[in-house]
Parts: sequence; structure tokens; C-alpha cells
Amino acid sequence: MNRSAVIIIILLALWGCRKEVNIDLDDRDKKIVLNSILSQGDPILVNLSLSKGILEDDYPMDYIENGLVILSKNGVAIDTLSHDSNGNYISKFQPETAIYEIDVWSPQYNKVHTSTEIPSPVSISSIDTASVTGYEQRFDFTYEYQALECRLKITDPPNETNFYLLSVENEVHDSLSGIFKLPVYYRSPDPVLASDKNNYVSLPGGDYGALFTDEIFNGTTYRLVIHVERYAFMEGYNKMVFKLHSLNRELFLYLKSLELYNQSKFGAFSEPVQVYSNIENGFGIFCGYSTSSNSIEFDYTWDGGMYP
Amino acid sequence: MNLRTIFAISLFLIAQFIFAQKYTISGYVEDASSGEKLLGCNIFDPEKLIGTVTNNYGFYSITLPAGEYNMQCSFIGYKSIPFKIELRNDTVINLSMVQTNLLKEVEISASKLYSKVEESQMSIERIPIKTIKAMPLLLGETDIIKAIQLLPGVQSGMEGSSGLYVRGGGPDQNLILLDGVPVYNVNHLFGFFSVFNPDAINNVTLIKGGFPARYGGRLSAVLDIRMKEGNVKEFKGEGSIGLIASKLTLEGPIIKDKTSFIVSGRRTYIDFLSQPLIRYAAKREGVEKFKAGYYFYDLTGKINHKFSDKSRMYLSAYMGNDKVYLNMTEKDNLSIYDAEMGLRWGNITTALRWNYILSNKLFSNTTATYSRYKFVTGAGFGEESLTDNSNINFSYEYFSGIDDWSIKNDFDYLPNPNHAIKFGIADIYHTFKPGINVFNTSTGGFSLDTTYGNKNIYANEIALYAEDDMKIGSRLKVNAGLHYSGFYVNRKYYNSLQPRLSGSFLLTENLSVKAALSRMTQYIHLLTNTSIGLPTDLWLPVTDTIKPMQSMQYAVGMVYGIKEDYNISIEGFYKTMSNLIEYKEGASFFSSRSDWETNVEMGNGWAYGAEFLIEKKKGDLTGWIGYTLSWSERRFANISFGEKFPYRYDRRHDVGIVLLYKINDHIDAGLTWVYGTGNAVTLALEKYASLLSVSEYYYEQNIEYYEKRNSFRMKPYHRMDVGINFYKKMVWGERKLSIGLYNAYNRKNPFFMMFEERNGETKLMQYSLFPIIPFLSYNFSF
Repeated sequence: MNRSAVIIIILLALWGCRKEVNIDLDDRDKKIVLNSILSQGDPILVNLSLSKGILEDDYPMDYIENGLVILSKNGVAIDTLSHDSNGNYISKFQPETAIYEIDVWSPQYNKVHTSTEIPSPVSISSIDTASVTGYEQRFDFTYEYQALECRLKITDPPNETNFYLLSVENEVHDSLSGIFKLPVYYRSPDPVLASDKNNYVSLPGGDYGALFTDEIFNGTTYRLVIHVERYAFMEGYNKMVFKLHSLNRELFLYLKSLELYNQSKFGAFSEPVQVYSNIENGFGIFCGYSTSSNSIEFDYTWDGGMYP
Repeated sequence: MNLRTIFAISLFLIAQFIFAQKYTISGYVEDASSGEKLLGCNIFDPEKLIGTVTNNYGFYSITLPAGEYNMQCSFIGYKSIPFKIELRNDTVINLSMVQTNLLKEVEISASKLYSKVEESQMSIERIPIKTIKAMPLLLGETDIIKAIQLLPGVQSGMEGSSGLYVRGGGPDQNLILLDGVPVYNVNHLFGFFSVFNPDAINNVTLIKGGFPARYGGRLSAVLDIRMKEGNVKEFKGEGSIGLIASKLTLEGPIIKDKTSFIVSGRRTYIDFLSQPLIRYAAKREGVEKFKAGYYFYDLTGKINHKFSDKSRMYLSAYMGNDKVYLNMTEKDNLSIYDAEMGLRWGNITTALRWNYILSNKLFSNTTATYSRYKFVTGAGFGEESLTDNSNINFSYEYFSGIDDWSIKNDFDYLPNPNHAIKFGIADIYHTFKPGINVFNTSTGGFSLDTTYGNKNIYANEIALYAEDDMKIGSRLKVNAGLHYSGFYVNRKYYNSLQPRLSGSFLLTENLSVKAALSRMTQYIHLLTNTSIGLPTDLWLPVTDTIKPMQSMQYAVGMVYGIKEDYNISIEGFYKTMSNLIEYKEGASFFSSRSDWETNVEMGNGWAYGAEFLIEKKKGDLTGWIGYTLSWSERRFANISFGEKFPYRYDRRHDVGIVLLYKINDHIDAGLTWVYGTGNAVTLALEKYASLLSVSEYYYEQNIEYYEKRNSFRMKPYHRMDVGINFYKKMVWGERKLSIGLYNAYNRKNPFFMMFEERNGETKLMQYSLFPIIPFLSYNFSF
């Protein structure tokens, strides 16, 4: 039993004279919820639903199926999205590096508007590797590990704040199953990543990695250091794919706040987290990212140690 | 220049010297029956409108031109002493004042000259201990902090809490001094009672703004509590028996008129009273042995020795602890199980003080102090197999706290009636103990005994100050000063120069306008995200990244005195605060403390408002009505996306009414009523689908929408307490029987709120803590 629970139990046990009072919440107008994430190469999909009062059941979701969704690119309307199912509206266009806007009308609800920009991809121009012994401080002891140190060369665009998510996967070639991709967890002694250990999140597509900004290396060429522990390797051929996702500010804030929200949701003593939204007159998120990747290939032979 | 001219000038200068020759009257003022020094007592000449006030040690000094003076000494609840003096040389006059009868003690007899209207200080409140003792009580326990919460500009936080939120500041921003020693945790019983036992207290002063330069180290308030010194004349005692606690105070001379002592103790007995019930319930549940309970106690002591008229020494100490414990043993055919857990927290403060009168104008006070706050929690579990005698044991303990050693030297220099100069120097050596975990386990052949956690942090804080309380002409009084402080921690030195200025201008005999500004710096932070006075709150110093908190407060006001009965005051204030800390969104109070710096955000805050107070200090009906209109807001770059949000204890309207009525010489009655705008809490009222709902990789998820931090208001808080006191002279002394009602009209005030599932529906529930609670307390003194 943790300390918070003990204290609460004691407090309530001592003061059993507490009373419960029902409180009526104000009726809140329902709002349109718009969720869409743009990435180069994927079709544009917008999901529309309605917000709910906090006392309503979560399910079923109230999807909007009669909405009018207009997509604009660089200030020019280019498409009216068609409804597919479950509130999903699909465009015939694929996103590029540009500013996109969405306007949504639905009977009985306030019109919502939002805009976002897809950032240009930032490439990993080279990858240097070395076998190293890594160290990580945990409480009063130091965790030691054997790892492949990877130095990823990035040239950050100048005069702007850039947001990134780095994911790593091992592309495994199996004679029976064919090619499949295993997500790889990595550590980092790099100050860019080490400053916040709670920044590992997933993109809605499955790529998992650490969020970071260019605060330390804005506009410069930087070698980002990560450590991949040996147990991420397969006996034989390995292809490690490093994906650098350039996120726009909206997606960065959304992922960061959503991760904190999920972490704190069940903590009685955690400060509540406000999840980022950029929908005018509504809720949800409209955001984008672009991705570049680089890879290394090597054969790995297990040396018989505790780990492969 | 001819010889005649030189002669004339010389004669004039000699005459000036002769006629301007000044002498000093000085001495101590004390209570005639106990020898207790009287603090803030007025010594003045009502005709010539000159005078002075005793300092915190009962010492006064006034330097006047030679001549005849009709002086008067007056103090709250005491008969004034007129005395005539032909001042021809320096004179020492020690004064002994006689109390008016006990039931009149809540009256004030101070002259208009040194009333609130005239003093240079503003935003200062003094509540006589006798008034506090006459007020209605929670569970029969007189509480100094709860009385202070009824003053304008001061909020109490949660229901029943002993927190002090002064002019939009947090409880960590209050410098709470017990005999000059900082007390870090003033809460007993999770904040429902304060640690100060009123029977051992002599004087309570609250300063909310316009801080004199002698105080520093906190942003929002100074609560200066002075202990009694002990009766040097005769042996005395007083005590009380209440519903949850009893207390006893004994005082008397060790060497008559030279050395005295006072010792005071208090303990709760909820644990004794509830033990049979707990055992009975445990037996019914099949638990072999079960012991659980809670108690707190505090002990206060002081020895005071007078070496000579010029030299006195005091040794005072306070020790208080709260303890929660649970032990249980269960047994079945296979094993015996033992489990135990506990929480313990408390303060120790000690002060050794030496007063020495260097000259009749210069008073020195040298103090060495020690203050410690310690929190310990632990749990253990053991299982012994009855079949193969194997054992499994596990235990865990966590310690945290803060230790302070300090030495300071304060001087009062009173060159003439127009200047009262104070200056001094102080050094505090802090040891911060941010948390040590001790983990012990043994099972079969494996055992582990490890200690881990944060290393102690050592810091040194220095302070220098000088202030002058000046009288400029007949209408203007100014207190101007400078406070310099420095803080050395982890090879980094922070320092700050803080100007302090307050003044009053007498528009008419009964009406003055006042203004003040003060800059304050605080080098220690309290890591907390709850307000129920949890003992786990952690004091931590500034670091490379966490900078010192700073505030700047401006205040203007007006005081109007009606005869000697009423004071009406109105004050407006504006306070800015920088480098405040808050937990980051999502950070948990119970998350690892090792990286606490990464769990907090720094930001700014500001508070502004107006306070209105009517006090009636004489007559059968006494008390006050206070009203505060205020705003308190915060802005942190990474909280609520940088938008400003209300402070949790932002309270738009706050009312405190205290009425004490003397029915006859044997009975008086009290009534208090409080009203406050509901607390600001963070509550989600809507929810919506997340982005992950559009991804085939994730389950659908709803996000609860928080408009911004502290954007929801709980219902207003209001409560009335009533009480009646019956006094009776007995053969052995006097007794007072107090009865009354806490929360007399049974208002269900919100304590906290949460969503709950009830009969398949989600509901928002409000929990209230204290319904109507009668109290009964028997007090005695001999």
C-alpha cells in the first residue's frame, strides 16, 4: 500500500463524519471533435465526433456522419471530404509540405476551424557506430550495459524551433516469416534526450521513440548519440532503421501532453494534465509530420554472455 | 569678527548645550503578578505627545531633554500607570503593571497616541491570547492559527486546516517564529490543529506586508509568536481537559525574582479511547492481534534567569510529534503473519537567548537557535511458516526533514524619541534531508539491506539589516530599512538587497493614511501538491536551476479610530511574486524525489485586493468584522500552455466575524462566522475522442477536458461557531467551563470532490468533513 493510500485511509477513518452531496453540473453544449494527423505519403483522413459531458458513458462514440468538411491548402479550398464510416472523412489528396486548413459544418453545432503545417523532413545524413559500455544511474546504483553506440548526424534547419521524434526498428529477415519489423527501445547519454526520461511516446502509426527539440543544437549540424542494447539484435543479419520524424509544434505538444495525461490519469495525487488542442470552437487536434530514415546493416554473433 | 561677537556666539552655544542636555529613561515593563515581560507596551507623555514602546523583550528606552514629564504606561488588559519624573540624569525605571479583572482582559486600554492610527507600520495584526482563548473551539482545542485565519487578508485553505494563505501567498511563504526560531511544520493531525499550545504563549503578531527590515527569508507573512517566560513571583498552573486532548502548564520561580521556569504539555487520547473498539472489530474479523491509533503531543519549556538588571538569559525549547501506527498479527494453521506501518513527524526548536543592556540607549539580544523537522514513515511485513520454520521478512523506511542551526545578534538603539533604530546580523546553517529510503528483506537464503536516496544538502544563509522607525514632524512616521541576505549552496551564492519602507501620515487626530513597500526574497521551497497539511511536504533549497523566490508588495491604507473603542481600517495591496514553483502537469507528489528539479516548473504569480476591518476593543461587546476582496493568479510557461490560472486559494470574497460578549462577571459568550468563495480546483467537465481513435493501431480513448488549472470553483465555504464560557472562583483557583458548537448550522462545506460510479451512473460527489460538532472543555488555573 503506498503512502498516499495509507494517509487517505487514516484520514477518512479518523473523520468518519464525512457527508456526500450530489452536485449538479451545468449542461454543457456539445462541441465538434476533429482529429486528423497528416503525413506525407498517407491519405488525408479526418475523424469527426461529438464531445460528451463528463458524466456520460464513454461508449458508444457519437460520430458525426453528416458533416461538411472543406480542406484548404495554402489558403485555397481544394477538396470537400467524403464520409466513409465511423465519422471518418477521406480526401482524394495526399499531403505535401504546405499549410492546410479544415472547416467543418454540422447541423446544430458550432462551425470549427483549424490549420496546421507539414514540416519539411530533416535527414539523417550519416550514422557512425561503436561498441561501448553504457552506464545509467538508478537510485543508489549504476546500471551497466553493453550497447551499440550510434551517432546520427542531423543538420537542423536554422531560425526556427524544430520538433522531432526518433524511432528505431530492427528489420528482421526471417526465412519462414519473411521480413518483419521489431521496434527497438534505446537509451541515450545525449543531453538532448537525457534531460527528460518521460518523453517516449508512440505516433499513431506505431512508431515509438523519444520526443525532443532542437533547443540545444538549433541551426547546426549535430551528432545525436543513442545506445541500442545488444538484446535488440538478432543472431545473424540485422538491419537497423533509424526514422527521424519532423513533427510540427501542434503534434509535439499533443503527444507530450497526452503521454503525461495517460501517466497521471490514475494517480490520486498527480496534477491533472490539460491535453493540447488546436481546434477553434471544438476539441481535438489537427497536426502533421514528415519522416526521413537511414539504416545500418550488420551481422551479429552472440558471444555467449548473459545477453545475446 | 570682533571679540564681542565671538563671545555672544559662544554664550549662545553653551546655553543651547545646557538647555538641550538630554537624558534617558529606560527599563523593563512586566506583569506585577507573574513578572512576565510585557511586549509592545506604551510609555508616553500624553501632554507632550512623546513616547516609546517596549520591544520584544519588554525593554524600553526614551531619551528626552531635561525637564518634568507626566508619563503614563499602558497596555492591553492592564491598569495604566501614571508616573511623574523630573528628568535631570539618566534614569532606570522598571514598571510592574496590574491586570484588570480576568473578564475584562479582552479590553484594550492603549492610548490614542500609540494606537493603530499612529504607528508607522501597516498590515500588522495583534490578537491578545486572552481573546483567542475566549473564542469558540474546534473539538475544545484553542488554536492560535485558527484565530489568525479570521483576520482579513488571511485564508485558511481547506476545511479545518491550520494553513495560512496570506495575501495570495502559499503556506511555505510564511515565516513562523516561535521565540525567534523558525518552525517548519505547524500542523498536528494533518493540519486540523496547530502545534502551538496557547497556554505557553505570551504574544502573537502577524505581519502581512510592509515588513520591517529585521524580518526576511519568506515572501508573504511573518507570524511572530513569543512564549511566556515563567512566573518569577509564585508557583502557578493552568490546564484543560477537552474531548480529544488535555493539557497542563506549570510555571514558577526557581529563585524568586531571578530565575523562573514554565513547562507546558499537551497530548491527545483518541488512541486510548478508540483502542477497545478497534480490538473488538479486529477480533470479529478474525485478526489475532490488532493495534492502531493516532496521537500527537507537544512539550514546551522555558527557563529565564536574571543575572542583573542589565543581563538576562532565556533557554526555551519546543518538541512536538504526531504518530500514526498500526500493528497486526494473523495466524492460521500454516503461518503467522505480522504487519506494521507507521508515520511519525514533528519539530524540535530550541533557543538560547541573552539580553544585555549595553547602555541605556542600546539594547542587545544574542540568540543561538536550533530547529529540526523530521518525517519518518515505514512499513514491515513478516511471515513465519509453522511447517518448516522458514521466514520471509520485509521492511521499508523513509526519512526526510530539515535541520537549522543559527546565531544572530539584534540591537535596539534609541537615540531620541524620534528614532528607534534596529540593526543586526544573522547566520543560519541549513541541512536539507530530501529523503533516505532504507529497504530490508530476507527470504530463504537471500537477504538485502540497502539504503538509497538523496544526499543531504548543506546551505548557509546570512542576513544583515538596519531599520529606523522615525518620527518626522508631528504627523509623519516612517519606518525605513534595508535587508541584505545571501545564500550559499552547492558552490553557488545568491544574494539580495531588499528595501523596506512603511509610513503613516496623521490627517487628523483620529485618521491616518499609510503606505508601504517591501521586497522579499526566499531561498527555500516547499515541495507539495496538496493542502491537507501532509507531513510529507519537503523543504528544499534553491539550486542552479531553481532560483530564489522574490516578491514585491505595495500597500496603501487608511486607519480611523473612533474614541478608544473602535478602529476602522482599509488597505489595498498589490504583490508580484517570481520564481514560484509548482509541480509539472502530470508530476506526482509521490513520484521519485531524486529528480525533483525535473518535476517542477518555475513561474510567476501576483495577488491584489482590498481588506476592510472594524475592530471593537472596549466594552462588553468586543471583536472584529473583516472582509477581503482579492485575486491571486499564477502563470507558468508549461502549465495550462502558458495561460494564467487562478491560484488554488484565490478567494474573491472572504469574511471573518468574531464577536465576544461579556454577559456578566461569570459568563461570556463568543460567536465566529466565516465565509469564503469556493476553492479553485482542477476538474474535467467534458470529454472527447483522442487522435488515437483514428488509428487502427490503438483502442478508442476519451480525453477528459480541463479548461485550465483550477478553473472549477467548489461551493462557497461558510460556518458559524458559537460558544459560552462559565467562570467560577474556586478555593484552589479558578475554573472555566466552555461549551459550544462547531459548525452550528451544520453546513456541509466541500472538502474534496471526485467522480464516482453509483448504481451504474457516474456522479460528481462532494465530501464534507465536519458536520455540527459540540464541544466541551474544562479549564482550570491556580
